[in-house]
Amino acid sequence: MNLDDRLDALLGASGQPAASNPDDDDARALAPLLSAARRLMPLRDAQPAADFAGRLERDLLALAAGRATNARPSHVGMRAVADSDEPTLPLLVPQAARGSNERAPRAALPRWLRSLPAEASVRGHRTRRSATLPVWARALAAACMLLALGSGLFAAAANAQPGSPLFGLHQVEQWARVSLSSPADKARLHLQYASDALAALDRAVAQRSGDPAYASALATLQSELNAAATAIAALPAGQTHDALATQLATFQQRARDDLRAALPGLGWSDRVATTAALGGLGESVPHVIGAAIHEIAGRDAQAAAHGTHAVQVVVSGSGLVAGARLVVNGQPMGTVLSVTDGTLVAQVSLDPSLVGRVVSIGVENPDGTAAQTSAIDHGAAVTPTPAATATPTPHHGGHGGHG
Amino acid sequence: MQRLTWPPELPFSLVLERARALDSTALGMLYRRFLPVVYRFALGRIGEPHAAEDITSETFSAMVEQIGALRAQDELGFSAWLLSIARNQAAMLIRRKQTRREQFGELPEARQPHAVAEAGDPLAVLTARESLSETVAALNRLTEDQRAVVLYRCVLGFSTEEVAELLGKQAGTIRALQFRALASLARLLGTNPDTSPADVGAYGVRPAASARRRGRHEPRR
Repeated sequence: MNLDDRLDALLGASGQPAASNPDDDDARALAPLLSAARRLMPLRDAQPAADFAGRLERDLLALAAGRATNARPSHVGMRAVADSDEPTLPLLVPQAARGSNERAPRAALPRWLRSLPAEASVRGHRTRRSATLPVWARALAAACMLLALGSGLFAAAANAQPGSPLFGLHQVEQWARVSLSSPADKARLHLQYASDALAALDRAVAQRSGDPAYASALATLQSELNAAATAIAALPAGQTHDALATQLATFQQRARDDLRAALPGLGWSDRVATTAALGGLGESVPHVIGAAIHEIAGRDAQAAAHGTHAVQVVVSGSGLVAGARLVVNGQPMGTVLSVTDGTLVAQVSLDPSLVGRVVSIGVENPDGTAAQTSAIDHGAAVTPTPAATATPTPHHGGHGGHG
Repeated sequence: MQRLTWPPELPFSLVLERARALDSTALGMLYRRFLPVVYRFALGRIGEPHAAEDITSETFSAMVEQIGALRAQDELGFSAWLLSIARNQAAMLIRRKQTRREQFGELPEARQPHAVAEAGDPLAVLTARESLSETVAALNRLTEDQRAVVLYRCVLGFSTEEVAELLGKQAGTIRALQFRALASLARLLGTNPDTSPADVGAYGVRPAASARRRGRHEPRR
């Protein structure tokens, strides 16, 4: 074996130098090279800062969402991302792209303000400056807002809650206030608005208000949290930054606790949206990438007797745990045959009226978190498998939550 | 460090297909899986966490913008594509730094390399910072191919065969590049305790038959 091969063997399959063997002549000769390789080991353990990683992920997903709404479907049979199961923001809520916390809810603005250029796509996490309205536009907008605030319409909107028809107008007022604030005050305002949204969400849960109050409050909470995080990140290092960062972290924990507590009482679609929000707050939650429906070759006797259609459903994703159940079109059904972190396999006896009309397939973990997808493929037929212990399908509780 | 692998029960091709359609879940999964890979590569090229974050950010932004046209179907193909973007971003940043005549490879006082040294131990932190700076400076004196092989093998943990596929070369060529690269690094970093032009062979390695040991090492340059 020549020295090239010997060195490669000593580095192993993963490029990590083996411990030196004093009896090995080749290892002794190659010791300086192995020492040089060991100098690279600290790089193997390097991790990006957690706050940087979180911010970058949010920005990238916002970039993708912006591109997806302008993209045409690339595959026949697949829904465009605009119809995806990620919770969509109400039209009047600013997007969470970096530096965009001052963007106005465009639909509610006067036409002359709507004609201003939109922010460019998100690039360069640290070195780019955010696109903001010119100072004169902000001042003029503020003057208009001050005049408008004198009217009864804005007075009524000032107390509007998520789900109310006047809530959009309320958000315009909030945008005006934010746009005239200092950077630190922007962060404080966004934290306050996030806190208001969480309070509204808690009320909606307690009063079993359901959609749209809950969904609107949840979307506002996510948007304001993202805007607060962006505003805090833009502050220079110092006491103010640290204090606001601590406030944000404390509030995020409160939000996680409240969202978890809300899960059991929610309808299916609100549960999916809440799970996505928990994922955005750093919680470990299920994700569903896609699903496939396979015909079962030959119909088992029981299915034939009941006039049902037996299929096998395979759900792909991550974060799936033992005890998870299959949910089809917002209703739990079927018998789960196997569950791993990335795959759930279930056998379902579909009512004939549902055949060809399955629009969403999801998974619900025992802790109430849930995810679903509308990307459903129809695969090749499979042979019948023995049914595992049936997954109990209790009556699906909760309020609101139209699927 | 565990080299990145994809869960066998979750087809990478399925995730990639959904990511091409800009599905946020799929993109998030790719991001979380490959973030350490890109960051470590960038840190190995630049040696400064702030700049490495810039490169990482630019790389993933390009990923989102260009993934629709990506033809790769498997994890290694995707890795090759993503790392080529990172390599280009790093090269552009280095050219900009050279143009501005900034000193390359030194870490600002305010930033510490993450997970390189134990917190609360100033001497260890300082030592780690200087060591990383010296290592990256030495890496940048290698040829591009040598540097890529060393980073992919010793930092990112790819096997020789995988590096060959990533770089479009034969495995034997990769082993030869690896040998020359580590020999050059040994010379530049002073990890060869008995280095002198008369004593070493063509690649800076003392032949085993004439190996001699001394009581102390040469001081680092």
